[in-house]
Amino acid sequence: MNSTEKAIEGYLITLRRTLKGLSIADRDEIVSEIGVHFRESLEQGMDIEHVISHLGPAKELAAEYRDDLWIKRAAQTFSPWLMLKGVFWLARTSALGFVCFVLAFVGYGTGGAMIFSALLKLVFPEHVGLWIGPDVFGFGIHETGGDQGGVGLFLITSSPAREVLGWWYIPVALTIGAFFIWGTTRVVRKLVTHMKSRRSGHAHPWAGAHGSRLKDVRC
Amino acid sequence: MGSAVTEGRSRDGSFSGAMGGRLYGLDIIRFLEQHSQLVLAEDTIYPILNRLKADGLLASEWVETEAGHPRKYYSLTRIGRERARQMAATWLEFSTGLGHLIEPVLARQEVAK
Repeated sequence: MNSTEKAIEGYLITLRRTLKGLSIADRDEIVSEIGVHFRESLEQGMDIEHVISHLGPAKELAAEYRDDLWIKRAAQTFSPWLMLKGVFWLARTSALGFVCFVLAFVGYGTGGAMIFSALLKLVFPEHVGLWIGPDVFGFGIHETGGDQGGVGLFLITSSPAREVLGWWYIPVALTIGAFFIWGTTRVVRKLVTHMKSRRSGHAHPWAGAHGSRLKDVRC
Repeated sequence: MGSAVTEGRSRDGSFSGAMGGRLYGLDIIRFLEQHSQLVLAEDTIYPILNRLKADGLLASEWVETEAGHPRKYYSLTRIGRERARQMAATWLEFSTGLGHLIEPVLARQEVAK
C-alpha cells in the first residue's frame, strides 16, 4: 500500500468512525461516495493533498452529515428522549441549537419531575402535594428545616405550610407534567424545523445557507 | 447576513441549473466551475446532496461505469423539479428588482463623468 492509498484509507476510516449515529447503510453509502470522489479526482490528475484539502478534515465532513441527521430526527420525533439526544448534539453546533437544548432540558425536566412527584404521592401521601403557607408555594415534597420560605418543587423551608389538594394532587400533577412535555415538544420541534428550513432553504427559496461553504466566487 | 443570503441564493440557484440531468458528485462540482462563477467546496456539496435527497428533492442511484467503478448519480425528483422552477422564478424576480435598484447608481456615475 503506497502513501496515497494509506492517506485515503485513513481518511475514510476516520469518516466512517465519526459518522456514528447514522445507520450502517447510510455510513456505507457516504464512505463509498467519498471513496469514489478520491478515486476519480486522482484519475483526473489531482494530488492527494489537494483532494483532502478540498474535502476538509474527515471529522468536519462527518459533522455536516450528522448535523443534518439530528435536525431531521428532532424535527420529526415526538419522543422526548430522541428530542433531548438530538438537541444535545445541536447545542454544540449553533446558538439556536443551544437555546433548543436549554428549553428541552428545562421543559422535559419540569414535566418529568411533576409526573414523578405524582407517583411519589402514592408512596408518601403525607409528604407530597401542593404546599401553601405564608412564605411557601410549592408542588412536590415539602420538608421544614431550611432557613427561609420558597417557591418550587421539592422545598426544604423553615416556614409552615399545608397541603391543599389531597389525592387530587395526582391528576393535577400528571396533567401539568404532560402539558410541560407536550408544550416543550411543540416549541422545540418548531425551533428545530426552523433550523432545518434555514439549512435547506425551505422557508423561502433563497433563505440562508447555514452549513454550506463557498470555496470561491470568481468575478 | 447579506453574505449568507447571497451564498444561499448562489448555492441553491446553481443546483437548479446543475441538476437538469443526471449527474454525480464530481460532475456537479465541475459543472459549477465551468458554467458559473461559483465554486462550491466538496465538503459542502456532498452533505447538501445527501440533505436534498433526504428531503425528497433528489433521487440517487449507483451505476456501474466504464471507468471500472460505480458512481452515485443524482437526478431531480418531480418535487425537486417544481422546487427548482420556483427558485428560478424567484431568482429572476429578485435579480430584476436588484437591477432596478442599481441602475440609478450607474447613471449617476456617468453624469459625474
